[in-house]
Amino acid sequence: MAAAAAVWQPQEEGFREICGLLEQHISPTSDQPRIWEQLQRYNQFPDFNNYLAFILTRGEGKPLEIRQAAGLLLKNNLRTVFRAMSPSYQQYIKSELLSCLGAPERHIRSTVGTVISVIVQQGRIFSWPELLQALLHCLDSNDFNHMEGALDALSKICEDIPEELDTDVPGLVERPINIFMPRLLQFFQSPHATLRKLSLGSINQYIVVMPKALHISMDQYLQGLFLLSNDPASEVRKLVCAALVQLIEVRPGFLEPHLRNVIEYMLQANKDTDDEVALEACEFWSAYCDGNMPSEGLREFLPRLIPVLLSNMVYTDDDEALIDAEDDESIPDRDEDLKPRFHTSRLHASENSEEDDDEPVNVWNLRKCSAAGLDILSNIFADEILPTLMPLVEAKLAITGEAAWKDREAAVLALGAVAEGCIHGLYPHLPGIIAFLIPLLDDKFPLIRSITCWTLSRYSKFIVQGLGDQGDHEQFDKILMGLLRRILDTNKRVQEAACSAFATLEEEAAEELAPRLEIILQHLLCAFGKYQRRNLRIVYDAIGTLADAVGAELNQPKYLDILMPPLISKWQQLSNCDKDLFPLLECFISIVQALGPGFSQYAEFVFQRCIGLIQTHQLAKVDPAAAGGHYDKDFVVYSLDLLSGIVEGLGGGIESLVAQSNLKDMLLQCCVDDATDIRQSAHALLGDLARVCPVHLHPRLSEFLNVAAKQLNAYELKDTVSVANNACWAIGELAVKVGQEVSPIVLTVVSSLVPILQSAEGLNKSLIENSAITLGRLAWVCPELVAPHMEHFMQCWCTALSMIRDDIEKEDAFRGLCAMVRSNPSGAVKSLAFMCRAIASWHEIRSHDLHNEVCQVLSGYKQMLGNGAWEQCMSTLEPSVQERLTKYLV
Amino acid sequence: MQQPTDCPNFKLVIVGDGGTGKTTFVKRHLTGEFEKKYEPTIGVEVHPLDFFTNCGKIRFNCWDTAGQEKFGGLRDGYYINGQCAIIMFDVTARLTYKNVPTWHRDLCRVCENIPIVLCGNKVDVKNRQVKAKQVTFHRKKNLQYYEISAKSNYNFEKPFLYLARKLAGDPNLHFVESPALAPPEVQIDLAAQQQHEADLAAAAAQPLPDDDDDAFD
Repeated sequence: MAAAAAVWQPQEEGFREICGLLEQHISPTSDQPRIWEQLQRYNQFPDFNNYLAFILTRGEGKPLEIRQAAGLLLKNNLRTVFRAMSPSYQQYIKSELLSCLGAPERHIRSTVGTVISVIVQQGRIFSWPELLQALLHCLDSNDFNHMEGALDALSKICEDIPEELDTDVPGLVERPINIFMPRLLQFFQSPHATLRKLSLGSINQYIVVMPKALHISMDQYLQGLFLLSNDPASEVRKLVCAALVQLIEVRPGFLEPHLRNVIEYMLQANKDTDDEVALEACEFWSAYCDGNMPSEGLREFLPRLIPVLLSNMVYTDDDEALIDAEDDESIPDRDEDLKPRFHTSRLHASENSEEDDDEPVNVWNLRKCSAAGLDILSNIFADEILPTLMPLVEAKLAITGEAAWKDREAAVLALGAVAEGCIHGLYPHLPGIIAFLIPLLDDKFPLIRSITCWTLSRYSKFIVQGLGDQGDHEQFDKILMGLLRRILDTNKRVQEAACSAFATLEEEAAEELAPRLEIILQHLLCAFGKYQRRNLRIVYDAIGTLADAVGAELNQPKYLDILMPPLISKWQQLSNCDKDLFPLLECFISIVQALGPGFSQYAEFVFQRCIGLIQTHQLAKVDPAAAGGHYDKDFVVYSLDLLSGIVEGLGGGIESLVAQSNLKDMLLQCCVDDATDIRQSAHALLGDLARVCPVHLHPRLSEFLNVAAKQLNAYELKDTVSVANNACWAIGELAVKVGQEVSPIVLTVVSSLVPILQSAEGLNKSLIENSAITLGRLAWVCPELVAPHMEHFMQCWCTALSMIRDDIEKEDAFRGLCAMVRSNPSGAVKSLAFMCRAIASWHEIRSHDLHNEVCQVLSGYKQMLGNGAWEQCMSTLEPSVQERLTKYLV
Repeated sequence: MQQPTDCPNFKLVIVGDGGTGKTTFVKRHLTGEFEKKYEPTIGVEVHPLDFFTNCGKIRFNCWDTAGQEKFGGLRDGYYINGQCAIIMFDVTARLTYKNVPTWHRDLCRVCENIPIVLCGNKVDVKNRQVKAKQVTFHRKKNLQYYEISAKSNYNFEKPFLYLARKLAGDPNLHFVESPALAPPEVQIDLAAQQQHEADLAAAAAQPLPDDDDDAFD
């Protein structure tokens, strides 16, 4: 190829070859790896990009696609090599592009604009003064192609790197944006919709940046927006709305003088025939309320705004939900309909973080945006919106006839949307509202039935809250029975909505459900018998939530007779490798927790099945054929957690089952599993067993201790914090049960716990708490081993202890503290203030002997230090700490 | 590959960062012609996927483009004449979601006003980094969003159904039979996949440097 010369010229052969390659490259049938290799080879030639530029700008006669492809490949190459290119080639490419700004083919112009923006990103605007001249020249040319090409390039620069045009350029009196701004504003009046759109889009990019050029032209810009507000092109109207929404969000001050006009316009734009314009406009109300705008400005418009929102909440004919709503219960769910779900392994912690399982918003449309707007308005204006809203809702609900079902549906949605914001005003009318809604649960249209479930759930909350005051259960019962009826609906979407509404009710009502348990269980178990797989999971959840809500109330033979046989028979039908077991196991975990010792009649069955599941999957891991299915670690995790639940629920009652089983060997294997989830659950079970029946762990005690100690390595803690957390807790539980037998691992564990306590800030709170407790328990059991090292950890340990609330575990840790101080009093002298704060963190030490020990420790130091030093130490403590210490200083 | 035959054909462009599962997703559909063995996409691979609707058969010619910069080939050059698109990100890798606006911008600069679906893949993985409520990009750009799992087939049909409805201009269009999908159990060996990608990347070595792949946050 040609050497660098003053004017580069392509060779015919190279031109042909590259065009041929591009042609193959965009064809669906070619051998892509081979072409890719060839491209790599071409890239070695320094003037390859010149060829691409030539094909893009001068490849007349070649198909447009080839020229476009050349341009896009050029752009991608320039992103990485532009700065390293020889100046003469840079110059060649730049001037070729400028010569093509006004090309007759739109796709060429647009590709040229894309490449130009990348060159400006790479080479900066100041090194390309010809670009600014060329753009100005084109903008002023009055030729459509040239104006469009220049605006296209400019709009891309504004989108990609808006700040670049707001910089000083040597040789220019003004910043580029100052020169372009008046011209862009002029284009608002262009007869060409494309040019209006491009110029408006370009300026909108500067609302956030807000350069001086836009600031001083603000009046003109706003006038321009109003001018374009009724533009015949919907894309332009959409950009006007987007500009106003963004202004109200980030620069509301500019709109304040024009607020009435803006709101008037937005009201009108909310009714735009183009849905996208209306949607963009609808964002305005949320943006207004979320910003710092005074609500006064909106108040007088409410009587006109609310009807618009309400009418936009009506389903459009193409809403996905309309088609989905025809889901018949008899059609089985397929694998691809089942969302993957997860179990959170058991964690021994004072507070468990909630899993976020929000449903995604698949599409954002006018209906959803309007409902969100109404919700926000109800929160700001509360009951003030009711005089406007309620007559509309009533009128819509009163429209009879099949055709109007979508209006009725929207009215029910509106009632639900304002439930929280307007509850004060609506509360006295609740009996009427509910009486009105209940019959809609039996409406012919499934989407009315499902939205009514949702709206009722929004009100049932308040009815539950009010139960205590009035003791009137009539409304509550109406809602409960209504939802239960819908749980048995024949439509899958209604089933789902009813279960989800019922779950809300369960959580709110908790023990209020107890007197109605029988009928609730009958309905849930009936659904259990007929649901398809997707909704079946929801029923399991509902049963689990019910167990959590009513707790021990469930523990009555008449309830258990309804609940347990179907669940157990279901379990018996499912093989050990069937994933449909997961939600069932999860459900059992909730039931065990609720029933406690009452679960004992099912304990043997469940215990044996869990052991069987773990065995099957440990086998499947190495030999799937022999196990009869594929390995899946989740079966092991669920089983371990359910076993933990049984151990916790039944306490000593589990002992004979453990004794007869090989649980300890299996558990040890799980404690060293590769999968962190399994190790996490295994160590939780280890801790639970240590509490209840340590004697059965005894034969392999030293192995358990060694394995657990290995989980605490601080350098590997990132992904395994939860394993370390449970292992740490299990070691502490074992220590207090087996005493001196932990001594071989004590120093190993302490040397792992200290770094955790020292780096407390970055680590999870629960791990810090458990580390502090376990360190204390080890010190209590083996003070002679731990006390010599006190100086290294007293400060961070006492700091951690002072964050823990009063409980038995904290008592153990303080017994360790006292034991160490007795053994090595000088070890705490330097940390006396920290120790005092830890002691002062007790609200009350319930154990008398511990209380006395703490008193002895403090008076011991007081004597040891002598009055001067003691008083000095006390004076460094906060007054509240000093105050708390007085009860130990008698 | 068969050329346009007896039914409407549409060019569907699939884009997104490397490793988000574009190829795996396309290959779940068993009428597409493909090898079982994994190879990272170089440039593009085109798979014809057929679906049967109440209005007859339609074919999506899926241009599964390379997500990795190194193997990108023409990149947006492949978008030329695209009629619809899927932008894929990985809910377990935040950066792949952060890059969605760039994919969307590049797509819209070549194909104006085509229907686009945003897909959050790998919802079968436990520790997701991009939560459902953090996905908001599609709201501003009028895209449809679906959470999918190419591994379990969850929601496999949804993106295609949405695009088919838009292209046909018929919101009531529906699929009359489910496409044959690879069973969820048949999974590509991820470790092998990563090794393969690493090998190829090493082989490709210098000529095309990686650009703006910021460090993962």
